[in-house]
Amino acid sequence: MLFLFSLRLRLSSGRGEDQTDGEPDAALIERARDGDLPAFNQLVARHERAVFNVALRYMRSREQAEDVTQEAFLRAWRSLESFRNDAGEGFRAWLLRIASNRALDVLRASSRRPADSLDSKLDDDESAWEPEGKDEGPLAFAVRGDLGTRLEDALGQIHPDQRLVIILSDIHGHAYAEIAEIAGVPIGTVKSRINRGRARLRELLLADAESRELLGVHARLESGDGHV
Amino acid sequence: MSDDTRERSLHAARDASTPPNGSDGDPTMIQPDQHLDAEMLSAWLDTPDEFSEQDRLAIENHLAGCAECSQVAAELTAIVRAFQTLPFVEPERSFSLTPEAAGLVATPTLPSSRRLEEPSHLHERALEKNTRNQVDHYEPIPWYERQMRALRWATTVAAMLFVLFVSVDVLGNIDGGSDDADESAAFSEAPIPTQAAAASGAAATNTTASGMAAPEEEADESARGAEEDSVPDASSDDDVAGSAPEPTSASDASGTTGGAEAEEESPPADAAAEATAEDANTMMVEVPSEPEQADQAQPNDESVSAYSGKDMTEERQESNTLHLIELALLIAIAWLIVAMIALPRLRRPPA
Repeated sequence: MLFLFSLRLRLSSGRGEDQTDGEPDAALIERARDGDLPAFNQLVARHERAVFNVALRYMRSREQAEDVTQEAFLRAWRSLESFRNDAGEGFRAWLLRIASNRALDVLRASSRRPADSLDSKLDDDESAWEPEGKDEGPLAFAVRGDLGTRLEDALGQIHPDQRLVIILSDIHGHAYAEIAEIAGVPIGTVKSRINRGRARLRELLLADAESRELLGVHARLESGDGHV
Repeated sequence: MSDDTRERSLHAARDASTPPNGSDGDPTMIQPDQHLDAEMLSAWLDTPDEFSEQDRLAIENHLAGCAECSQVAAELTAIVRAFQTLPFVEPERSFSLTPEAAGLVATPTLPSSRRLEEPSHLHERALEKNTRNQVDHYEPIPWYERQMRALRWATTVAAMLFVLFVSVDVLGNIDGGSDDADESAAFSEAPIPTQAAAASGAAATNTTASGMAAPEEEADESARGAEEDSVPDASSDDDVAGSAPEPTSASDASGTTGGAEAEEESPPADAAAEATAEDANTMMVEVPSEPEQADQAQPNDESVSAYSGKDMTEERQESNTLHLIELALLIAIAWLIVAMIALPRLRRPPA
């Protein structure tokens, strides 16, 4: 089983990258600074998917996520001068920082439970669940889908600080440095939050009998032990 | 080992091994005989390179001999793998900024109620809802709002024109109201009743009433005309005879008897015609008894006869033109109102 632990869990690059063909971010940013709205909207089209998905998983409400995403781009447009990196690097991180700050504000202001659950959204969007690979059998596919749904639910129960870094790290595959920039905390804090968040998620899953069973099955499937 | 026992062991391991990771500093020495903390395992799974060689070996050795810690590591791995394969949700709309939203369009202040109805701008509603204190006064005019203003102006102008034309029409009718009776009588298919005055007038009137089944008012007007215009007119008489489908004894000396004869001779006449005939008869009774009225009314005969067919046609055409204009204005107003209702629904700004 030791080979399992030689795997690095972290993704090498950001997941869910939007289309980046065409003009680089730096050029578009430069034009947008001169008031070129179409150029800015190209940046929007390039990054809106990532920003929206982070907001959606963080807010767990589509309506709120849309509001936060739209406001993030609006604020970005208005404060484009404050984005310092002339090379255009870190623009997505900058956008995500704006969005996550706004999302945190909304979460603090709103104590109600989201009416439009992400779970229901994903339940409705089962077509999005594709087998991870050709080798993945129907059992593994079903277990992963069910576990993912439960993880989404558990994600909503952990501390928002831990939730944000887990979303950025494990779902979107951002590097520690990027997450630190987005969250506005040192890298060490990011790591700590990630590890505590994962441990907390595991606790939450183990607290429920069905989730515990699913986690066990998925762990065995992941480790290559097919004896389920 | 139960879960509780395992958790206690992990807590014991965490207590013994100070912060498992969470910082960039060297992790503390791993005790081979103690269970590994879940947080430490998470860190080790993520970035084993950040552990010292000694700690890495200690962890690997421990995992090789400890099924429980291996299970924890496997569960953490499963969690992260499940996260990594979560589907991305496609946004249901674009978040591109419109020129209005970006503040590139003139931004006069609008009423707040209208601002909330602005199209496209979920973000504007979000700003209203969530960031009322933080967002600057941002009140763009949407494209349809500008067109809406033009529509309002057009509707107002059309409505004013409509009122103007209707007023002219009504006032014109009032001014010419005194003549209308004569006009209506003159223009109606029933000929001017004055021609049937005096001796043959009543009979002629009766004939008209019964023959044409003219409305009672018309017959009354005709009768009044007959009272006023007591001078017989041969040419008119011909007209009367010509227009009456069933010419009766228009040459009777007595209007009363003539009327009676007319009634008798026209049995198919309907009830209205009979009533009209009675009215006419009643009036005709008075005609001979007040011949002075006929004398006073004699000058009117000239004005009545002054009505040429051409003038009447022109007036009629003017009236028709007015009505056409009024109708056109009504249609325009209706169209504009429909446009104003439909426009806010077309919330997509032009590309």
